[in-house]
Amino acid sequence: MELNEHDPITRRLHALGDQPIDPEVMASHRSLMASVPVAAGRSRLRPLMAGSLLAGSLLGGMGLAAAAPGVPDAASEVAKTVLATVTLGAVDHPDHDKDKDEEAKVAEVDEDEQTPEAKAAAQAAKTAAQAAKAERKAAKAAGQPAGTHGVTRSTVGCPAGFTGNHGQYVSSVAKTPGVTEEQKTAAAQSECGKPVHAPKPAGEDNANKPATAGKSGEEHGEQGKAKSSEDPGTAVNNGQSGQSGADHRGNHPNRRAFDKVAKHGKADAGRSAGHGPTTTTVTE
Amino acid sequence: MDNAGDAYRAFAPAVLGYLRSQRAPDPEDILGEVFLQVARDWRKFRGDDAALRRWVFSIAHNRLLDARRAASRRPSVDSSPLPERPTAETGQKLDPELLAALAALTPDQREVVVLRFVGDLPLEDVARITRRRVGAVKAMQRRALEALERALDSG
Repeated sequence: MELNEHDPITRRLHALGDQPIDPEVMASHRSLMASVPVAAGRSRLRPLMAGSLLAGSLLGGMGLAAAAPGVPDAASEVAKTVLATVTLGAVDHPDHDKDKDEEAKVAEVDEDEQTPEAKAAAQAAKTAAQAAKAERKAAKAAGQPAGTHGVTRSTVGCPAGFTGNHGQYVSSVAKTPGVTEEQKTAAAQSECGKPVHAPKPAGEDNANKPATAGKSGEEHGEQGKAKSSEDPGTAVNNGQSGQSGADHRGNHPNRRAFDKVAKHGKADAGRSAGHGPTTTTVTE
Repeated sequence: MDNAGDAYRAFAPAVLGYLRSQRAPDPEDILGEVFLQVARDWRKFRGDDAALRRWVFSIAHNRLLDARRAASRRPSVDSSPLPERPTAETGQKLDPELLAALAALTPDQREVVVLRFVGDLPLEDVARITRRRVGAVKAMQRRALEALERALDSG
Protein backbone atom coordinates (compact mmCIF):
# COMPACT_ATOMS: atom_id res chain seq x y z
CA MET A 1 0.00 0.00 0.00
CA GLU A 2 1.51 3.28 -1.05
CA LEU A 3 1.18 6.56 0.74
CA ASN A 4 -0.37 8.08 -2.35
CA GLU A 5 -3.48 6.09 -1.64
CA HIS A 6 -3.85 8.05 1.59
CA ASP A 7 -3.03 11.49 0.25
CA PRO A 8 -6.28 13.07 1.40
CA ILE A 9 -5.70 11.81 4.95
CA THR A 10 -2.06 12.84 5.05
CA ARG A 11 -2.97 16.27 3.79
CA ARG A 12 -5.52 16.66 6.52
CA LEU A 13 -2.94 15.46 9.03
CA HIS A 14 -0.42 18.01 7.73
CA ALA A 15 -3.07 20.68 8.09
CA LEU A 16 -3.29 19.92 11.81
CA GLY A 17 0.31 21.10 12.12
CA ASP A 18 -0.25 24.29 10.19
CA GLN A 19 -2.77 25.91 12.47
CA PRO A 20 -1.70 29.37 13.57
CA ILE A 21 -1.04 29.98 17.26
CA ASP A 22 -2.98 32.46 19.32
CA PRO A 23 -0.94 35.71 19.33
CA GLU A 24 -1.36 36.11 23.08
CA VAL A 25 -0.06 32.61 23.69
CA MET A 26 2.77 33.22 21.26
CA ALA A 27 3.71 36.50 22.96
CA SER A 28 3.77 34.89 26.38
CA HIS A 29 5.93 32.04 25.07
CA ARG A 30 8.35 34.44 23.44
CA SER A 31 8.69 36.55 26.56
CA LEU A 32 9.25 33.38 28.55
CA MET A 33 11.96 32.24 26.16
CA ALA A 34 13.64 35.63 26.26
CA SER A 35 13.78 35.59 30.05
CA VAL A 36 15.52 32.23 30.51
CA PRO A 37 19.27 32.22 31.03
CA VAL A 38 20.94 30.57 28.11
CA ALA A 39 23.13 27.61 28.99
CA ALA A 40 26.73 27.90 28.02
CA GLY A 41 27.57 25.98 24.92
CA ARG A 42 30.39 23.55 24.50
CA SER A 43 33.59 25.47 24.69
CA ARG A 44 36.29 24.45 22.30
CA LEU A 45 38.79 25.93 24.73
CA ARG A 46 38.01 23.34 27.36
CA PRO A 47 40.16 20.51 25.92
CA LEU A 48 42.91 23.02 25.24
CA MET A 49 42.85 24.21 28.85
CA ALA A 50 42.89 20.66 30.20
CA GLY A 51 45.84 19.79 28.00
CA SER A 52 47.71 22.90 29.09
CA LEU A 53 47.12 22.06 32.74
CA LEU A 54 48.38 18.52 32.31
CA ALA A 55 51.45 19.63 30.39
CA GLY A 56 52.19 22.29 33.00
CA SER A 57 52.02 19.89 35.91
CA LEU A 58 54.24 17.39 34.09
CA LEU A 59 56.80 20.03 33.25
CA GLY A 60 56.72 21.39 36.78
CA GLY A 61 57.29 17.96 38.29
CA MET A 62 60.15 17.27 35.94
CA GLY A 63 61.70 20.63 36.75
CA LEU A 64 61.60 20.00 40.48
CA ALA A 65 63.10 16.56 40.06
CA ALA A 66 65.88 18.00 37.92
CA ALA A 67 66.59 20.78 40.40
CA ALA A 68 66.93 18.49 43.45
CA PRO A 69 70.62 17.48 42.91
CA GLY A 70 71.53 21.11 42.40
CA VAL A 71 70.59 22.23 45.91
CA PRO A 72 73.62 23.86 47.61
CA ASP A 73 75.42 21.99 50.34
CA ALA A 74 74.59 24.64 52.92
CA ALA A 75 70.87 24.22 52.29
CA SER A 76 71.22 20.47 52.50
CA GLU A 77 72.99 20.80 55.85
CA VAL A 78 70.27 23.04 57.23
CA ALA A 79 67.59 20.60 56.18
CA LYS A 80 69.51 17.71 57.67
CA THR A 81 69.96 19.52 61.00
CA VAL A 82 66.32 20.48 61.20
CA LEU A 83 65.18 16.97 60.49
CA ALA A 84 67.58 15.49 63.02
CA THR A 85 66.41 17.97 65.65
CA VAL A 86 62.83 17.12 65.04
CA THR A 87 63.52 13.40 65.27
CA LEU A 88 65.45 13.67 68.55
CA GLY A 89 62.82 15.98 70.00
CA ALA A 90 60.18 13.45 69.32
CA VAL A 91 62.20 10.76 71.11
CA ASP A 92 62.80 12.96 74.15
CA HIS A 93 59.22 14.11 74.51
CA PRO A 94 58.03 13.43 78.08
CA ASP A 95 54.72 11.97 76.94
CA HIS A 96 56.57 9.29 75.07
CA ASP A 97 58.70 8.41 78.09
CA LYS A 98 55.88 8.02 80.53
CA ASP A 99 55.69 4.26 80.44
CA LYS A 100 59.19 3.44 79.35
CA ASP A 101 62.31 2.55 81.28
CA GLU A 102 65.60 4.32 80.82
CA GLU A 103 66.95 1.46 78.75
CA ALA A 104 64.12 1.77 76.27
CA LYS A 105 64.88 5.46 75.82
CA VAL A 106 68.56 4.79 75.32
CA ALA A 107 67.81 2.09 72.79
CA GLU A 108 65.92 4.52 70.56
CA VAL A 109 69.00 6.60 69.88
CA ASP A 110 70.83 5.46 66.81
CA GLU A 111 74.10 4.03 67.93
CA ASP A 112 75.89 4.69 64.69
CA GLU A 113 75.61 8.43 65.12
CA GLN A 114 76.78 8.55 68.78
CA THR A 115 80.07 9.97 69.88
CA PRO A 116 82.19 7.91 72.30
CA GLU A 117 81.10 10.20 75.15
CA ALA A 118 77.48 9.72 74.27
CA LYS A 119 77.96 5.99 74.06
CA ALA A 120 79.55 5.95 77.49
CA ALA A 121 76.74 8.05 78.92
CA ALA A 122 74.17 5.75 77.36
CA GLN A 123 75.91 2.72 78.80
CA ALA A 124 75.98 4.37 82.23
CA ALA A 125 72.30 5.19 82.03
CA LYS A 126 71.56 1.64 81.00
CA THR A 127 73.51 0.25 83.92
CA ALA A 128 71.81 2.65 86.31
CA ALA A 129 68.41 1.66 85.01
CA GLN A 130 69.18 -2.02 85.44
CA ALA A 131 70.42 -1.38 88.96
CA ALA A 132 67.29 0.59 89.81
CA LYS A 133 65.15 -2.20 88.47
CA ALA A 134 66.96 -4.82 90.52
CA GLU A 135 66.69 -2.61 93.58
CA ARG A 136 62.95 -2.24 93.10
CA LYS A 137 62.60 -6.02 92.82
CA ALA A 138 64.61 -6.60 95.99
CA ALA A 139 62.60 -4.03 97.92
CA LYS A 140 59.40 -5.59 96.77
CA ALA A 141 60.54 -9.05 97.82
CA ALA A 142 61.70 -7.85 101.25
CA GLY A 143 58.63 -5.80 102.07
CA GLN A 144 56.04 -8.27 101.02
CA PRO A 145 56.93 -11.96 101.35
CA ALA A 146 55.25 -14.52 99.18
CA GLY A 147 51.97 -15.75 100.56
CA THR A 148 51.49 -12.89 103.03
CA HIS A 149 49.52 -10.66 100.67
CA GLY A 150 50.43 -7.64 102.75
CA VAL A 151 48.85 -8.98 105.97
CA THR A 152 50.72 -8.76 109.25
CA ARG A 153 50.98 -12.26 110.67
CA SER A 154 51.76 -13.63 114.05
CA THR A 155 55.14 -15.27 114.60
CA VAL A 156 54.25 -16.78 117.96
CA GLY A 157 55.22 -20.44 117.95
CA CYS A 158 56.85 -20.21 114.53
CA PRO A 159 60.29 -21.58 113.79
CA ALA A 160 62.96 -18.96 113.32
CA GLY A 161 62.76 -17.14 110.00
CA PHE A 162 59.28 -18.39 109.03
CA THR A 163 57.25 -15.70 107.26
CA GLY A 164 54.41 -17.66 105.67
CA ASN A 165 50.79 -17.96 106.66
CA HIS A 166 49.23 -20.43 109.07
CA GLY A 167 48.39 -22.96 106.39
CA GLN A 168 51.91 -22.99 105.13
CA TYR A 169 53.16 -23.50 108.65
CA VAL A 170 50.81 -26.41 109.32
CA SER A 171 51.65 -27.93 105.99
CA SER A 172 55.36 -27.66 106.63
CA VAL A 173 54.93 -29.35 110.02
CA ALA A 174 52.84 -32.12 108.51
CA LYS A 175 55.45 -32.76 105.85
CA THR A 176 58.24 -33.03 108.36
CA PRO A 177 59.41 -36.66 108.52
CA GLY A 178 58.58 -38.43 111.77
CA VAL A 179 56.07 -35.90 113.02
CA THR A 180 53.38 -37.18 115.36
CA GLU A 181 49.68 -36.48 115.37
CA GLU A 182 50.02 -34.44 118.53
CA GLN A 183 52.59 -32.25 116.90
CA LYS A 184 50.32 -31.76 113.91
CA THR A 185 47.42 -30.83 116.16
CA ALA A 186 49.56 -28.45 118.13
CA ALA A 187 50.73 -26.81 114.92
CA ALA A 188 47.17 -26.47 113.75
CA GLN A 189 46.13 -24.87 117.00
CA SER A 190 49.08 -22.54 117.24
CA GLU A 191 48.95 -18.86 116.32
CA CYS A 192 51.84 -19.09 113.88
CA GLY A 193 51.06 -17.38 110.59
CA LYS A 194 47.62 -16.22 111.60
CA PRO A 195 46.73 -12.64 110.79
CA VAL A 196 47.19 -10.18 113.63
CA HIS A 197 44.27 -7.76 114.09
CA ALA A 198 44.60 -4.50 115.95
CA PRO A 199 42.10 -4.17 118.81
CA LYS A 200 39.14 -1.98 117.87
CA PRO A 201 37.91 0.73 120.20
CA ALA A 202 34.40 0.44 121.52
CA GLY A 203 31.67 1.89 119.26
CA GLU A 204 33.94 2.02 116.24
CA ASP A 205 31.54 -0.04 114.17
CA ASN A 206 28.72 2.45 114.45
CA ALA A 207 30.95 5.47 114.12
CA ASN A 208 32.52 4.17 110.91
CA LYS A 209 29.28 3.10 109.32
CA PRO A 210 28.58 5.00 106.14
CA ALA A 211 25.67 7.41 106.20
CA THR A 212 23.95 5.51 103.43
CA ALA A 213 23.07 2.71 105.80
CA GLY A 214 20.88 4.94 107.93
CA LYS A 215 19.56 6.61 104.88
CA SER A 216 18.56 3.26 103.53
CA GLY A 217 16.52 2.58 106.62
CA GLU A 218 14.91 5.99 106.37
CA GLU A 219 14.10 5.60 102.71
CA HIS A 220 12.43 2.30 103.27
CA GLY A 221 10.75 3.38 106.46
CA GLU A 222 7.15 3.39 105.39
CA GLN A 223 7.48 0.24 103.35
CA GLY A 224 9.25 -1.46 106.21
CA LYS A 225 6.52 -0.41 108.61
CA ALA A 226 3.87 -2.06 106.47
CA LYS A 227 5.92 -5.20 106.20
CA SER A 228 6.72 -5.25 109.87
CA SER A 229 3.02 -5.51 110.73
CA GLU A 230 2.89 -8.77 108.85
CA ASP A 231 6.37 -10.16 109.31
CA PRO A 232 8.53 -7.86 111.34
CA GLY A 233 11.31 -10.33 111.65
CA THR A 234 11.83 -10.46 107.93
CA ALA A 235 11.75 -6.70 107.70
CA VAL A 236 14.42 -6.30 110.35
CA ASN A 237 16.63 -8.97 108.86
CA ASN A 238 16.40 -7.42 105.42
CA GLY A 239 17.39 -4.03 106.71
CA GLN A 240 14.01 -2.61 105.86
CA SER A 241 12.48 -2.10 109.28
CA GLY A 242 10.63 1.10 108.87
CA GLN A 243 10.19 2.02 112.51
CA SER A 244 13.69 1.30 113.62
CA GLY A 245 15.15 2.79 110.44
CA ALA A 246 13.17 5.98 110.95
CA ASP A 247 13.94 6.23 114.63
CA HIS A 248 17.66 5.58 114.40
CA ARG A 249 18.92 7.63 111.53
CA GLY A 250 22.47 6.97 110.47
CA ASN A 251 22.50 3.34 111.65
CA HIS A 252 21.75 0.18 109.83
CA PRO A 253 18.73 -1.72 111.18
CA ASN A 254 20.60 -5.01 111.33
CA ARG A 255 23.24 -3.34 113.44
CA ARG A 256 20.49 -2.13 115.75
CA ALA A 257 19.22 -5.66 116.23
CA PHE A 258 22.67 -6.98 117.08
CA ASP A 259 23.32 -4.11 119.46
CA LYS A 260 20.08 -4.87 121.19
CA VAL A 261 21.11 -8.49 121.63
CA ALA A 262 24.29 -7.32 123.26
CA LYS A 263 22.54 -4.94 125.65
CA HIS A 264 19.30 -6.59 126.60
CA GLY A 265 19.86 -10.23 126.05
CA LYS A 266 18.47 -12.76 123.64
CA ALA A 267 14.86 -12.54 124.74
CA ASP A 268 14.58 -8.82 124.09
CA ALA A 269 16.42 -9.11 120.83
CA GLY A 270 14.10 -11.84 119.66
CA ARG A 271 11.11 -9.67 120.46
CA SER A 272 12.54 -6.67 118.71
CA ALA A 273 13.92 -8.41 115.68
CA GLY A 274 11.23 -10.90 114.98
CA HIS A 275 8.37 -11.13 117.39
CA GLY A 276 8.16 -8.00 119.47
CA PRO A 277 6.42 -4.71 118.90
CA THR A 278 7.77 -2.64 116.05
CA THR A 279 7.87 0.59 117.99
CA THR A 280 10.76 -0.34 120.23
CA THR A 281 13.55 2.16 120.39
CA VAL A 282 17.12 1.63 121.33
CA THR A 283 19.03 4.04 123.45
CA GLU A 284 22.73 4.18 123.11
CA MET B 1 18.18 29.34 12.14
CA ASP B 2 20.01 31.75 14.34
CA ASN B 3 18.13 31.62 17.59
CA ALA B 4 15.36 29.94 19.53
CA GLY B 5 12.87 32.55 18.34
CA ASP B 6 13.36 31.43 14.76
CA ALA B 7 12.85 27.84 15.82
CA TYR B 8 9.65 28.82 17.54
CA ARG B 9 8.34 30.53 14.46
CA ALA B 10 9.21 27.54 12.31
CA PHE B 11 8.13 24.63 14.48
CA ALA B 12 5.69 25.88 17.09
CA PRO B 13 2.52 25.34 14.96
CA ALA B 14 3.53 21.79 14.12
CA VAL B 15 4.41 21.04 17.72
CA LEU B 16 1.08 22.46 18.87
CA GLY B 17 -0.73 20.36 16.25
CA TYR B 18 1.16 17.30 17.44
CA LEU B 19 0.19 18.00 21.06
CA ARG B 20 -3.45 18.61 20.19
CA SER B 21 -3.63 15.50 18.05
CA GLN B 22 -2.20 13.51 20.92
CA ARG B 23 -4.89 14.98 23.17
CA ALA B 24 -2.37 16.53 25.51
CA PRO B 25 -3.86 17.85 28.77
CA ASP B 26 -2.90 21.48 28.20
CA PRO B 27 -1.19 21.83 24.83
CA GLU B 28 -0.35 25.53 25.02
CA ASP B 29 1.37 25.09 28.37
CA ILE B 30 3.36 22.13 27.13
CA LEU B 31 4.30 24.08 24.02
CA GLY B 32 5.69 26.82 26.26
CA GLU B 33 7.70 24.28 28.25
CA VAL B 34 9.09 22.74 25.06
CA PHE B 35 10.40 26.01 23.70
CA LEU B 36 11.60 27.10 27.10
CA GLN B 37 13.94 24.14 27.03
CA VAL B 38 14.84 24.87 23.43
CA ALA B 39 15.80 28.41 24.39
CA ARG B 40 17.77 27.21 27.42
CA ASP B 41 19.76 24.60 25.53
CA TRP B 42 19.99 26.41 22.23
CA ARG B 43 23.74 26.96 22.43
CA LYS B 44 24.35 23.30 23.12
CA PHE B 45 22.61 22.20 19.94
CA ARG B 46 24.69 21.24 16.93
CA GLY B 47 23.08 20.16 13.65
CA ASP B 48 21.08 21.13 10.62
CA ASP B 49 17.39 21.97 10.30
CA ALA B 50 16.36 18.34 10.10
CA ALA B 51 18.25 17.58 13.30
CA LEU B 52 16.70 20.64 14.90
CA ARG B 53 13.21 19.47 13.99
CA ARG B 54 13.95 16.03 15.41
CA TRP B 55 15.37 17.60 18.58
CA VAL B 56 12.33 19.85 19.08
CA PHE B 57 9.90 16.97 18.60
CA SER B 58 11.94 14.79 20.92
CA ILE B 59 11.53 17.41 23.60
CA ALA B 60 7.81 17.69 22.83
CA HIS B 61 7.43 13.90 23.02
CA ASN B 62 9.12 13.79 26.42
CA ARG B 63 7.17 16.74 27.80
CA LEU B 64 3.95 15.08 26.65
CA LEU B 65 4.87 11.89 28.51
CA ASP B 66 5.65 13.94 31.61
CA ALA B 67 2.33 15.76 31.38
CA ARG B 68 0.42 12.51 31.00
CA ARG B 69 2.26 11.01 33.92
CA ALA B 70 1.45 14.04 36.05
CA ALA B 71 -2.19 14.04 34.92
CA SER B 72 -2.53 10.36 35.80
CA ARG B 73 -1.38 11.09 39.35
CA ARG B 74 -4.08 13.65 40.04
CA PRO B 75 -7.82 13.08 39.63
CA SER B 76 -9.39 14.63 36.56
CA VAL B 77 -12.97 15.77 36.15
CA ASP B 78 -12.59 17.09 32.62
CA SER B 79 -14.44 14.78 30.26
CA SER B 80 -14.58 17.03 27.22
CA PRO B 81 -14.47 14.85 24.11
CA LEU B 82 -12.10 16.62 21.74
CA PRO B 83 -10.40 19.99 21.60
CA GLU B 84 -12.14 22.36 19.22
CA ARG B 85 -10.22 25.51 19.81
CA PRO B 86 -10.87 28.25 17.26
CA THR B 87 -7.82 30.08 16.10
CA ALA B 88 -7.78 33.79 16.62
CA GLU B 89 -6.68 34.76 13.13
CA THR B 90 -8.82 32.70 10.87
CA GLY B 91 -11.57 31.53 13.14
CA GLN B 92 -11.15 28.09 11.62
CA LYS B 93 -11.89 25.01 13.69
CA LEU B 94 -9.66 22.01 13.94
CA ASP B 95 -10.68 19.00 11.91
CA PRO B 96 -13.03 17.30 14.39
CA GLU B 97 -13.63 14.23 12.23
CA LEU B 98 -9.94 13.60 11.83
CA LEU B 99 -9.33 14.15 15.53
CA ALA B 100 -12.09 11.68 16.36
CA ALA B 101 -10.57 9.15 13.98
CA LEU B 102 -7.14 9.69 15.58
CA ALA B 103 -8.66 9.15 18.99
CA ALA B 104 -9.89 5.75 17.84
CA LEU B 105 -6.36 4.57 17.02
CA THR B 106 -4.14 2.78 19.48
CA PRO B 107 -1.76 5.13 21.32
CA ASP B 108 1.26 3.67 19.50
CA GLN B 109 -0.37 4.06 16.07
CA ARG B 110 -1.50 7.56 16.86
CA GLU B 111 1.93 8.56 18.05
CA VAL B 112 3.59 7.27 14.92
CA VAL B 113 1.17 8.78 12.48
CA VAL B 114 1.07 12.16 14.20
CA LEU B 115 4.85 12.44 14.39
CA ARG B 116 5.14 11.30 10.80
CA PHE B 117 2.56 13.60 9.21
CA VAL B 118 1.72 16.38 11.66
CA GLY B 119 5.33 16.75 12.75
CA ASP B 120 6.52 16.04 9.21
CA LEU B 121 9.34 13.83 10.37
CA PRO B 122 10.95 11.06 8.32
CA LEU B 123 10.48 7.44 9.30
CA GLU B 124 13.98 7.24 10.74
CA ASP B 125 13.42 10.17 13.07
CA VAL B 126 10.07 8.80 14.19
CA ALA B 127 11.80 5.51 14.93
CA ARG B 128 14.46 7.27 16.96
CA ILE B 129 11.98 9.33 18.97
CA THR B 130 9.67 6.44 19.71
CA ARG B 131 12.60 4.04 20.17
CA ARG B 132 11.36 1.55 17.64
CA ARG B 133 12.83 -0.01 14.56
CA VAL B 134 12.12 1.68 11.26
CA GLY B 135 10.33 -1.38 9.92
CA ALA B 136 8.06 -1.47 12.93
CA VAL B 137 7.28 2.21 12.52
CA LYS B 138 6.50 1.73 8.85
CA ALA B 139 4.12 -1.14 9.56
CA MET B 140 2.47 0.80 12.33
CA GLN B 141 2.04 3.80 10.06
CA ARG B 142 0.36 1.68 7.38
CA ARG B 143 -2.07 0.15 9.82
CA ALA B 144 -2.81 3.57 11.31
CA LEU B 145 -3.58 5.10 7.93
CA GLU B 146 -5.85 2.20 7.04
CA ALA B 147 -7.69 2.60 10.31
CA LEU B 148 -8.05 6.32 9.76
CA GLU B 149 -9.39 5.76 6.25
CA ARG B 150 -11.95 3.29 7.54
CA ALA B 151 -12.99 5.62 10.32
CA LEU B 152 -13.33 8.63 8.04
CA ASP B 153 -15.18 6.68 5.37
CA SER B 154 -17.63 5.30 7.87
CA GLY B 155 -18.11 8.72 9.45
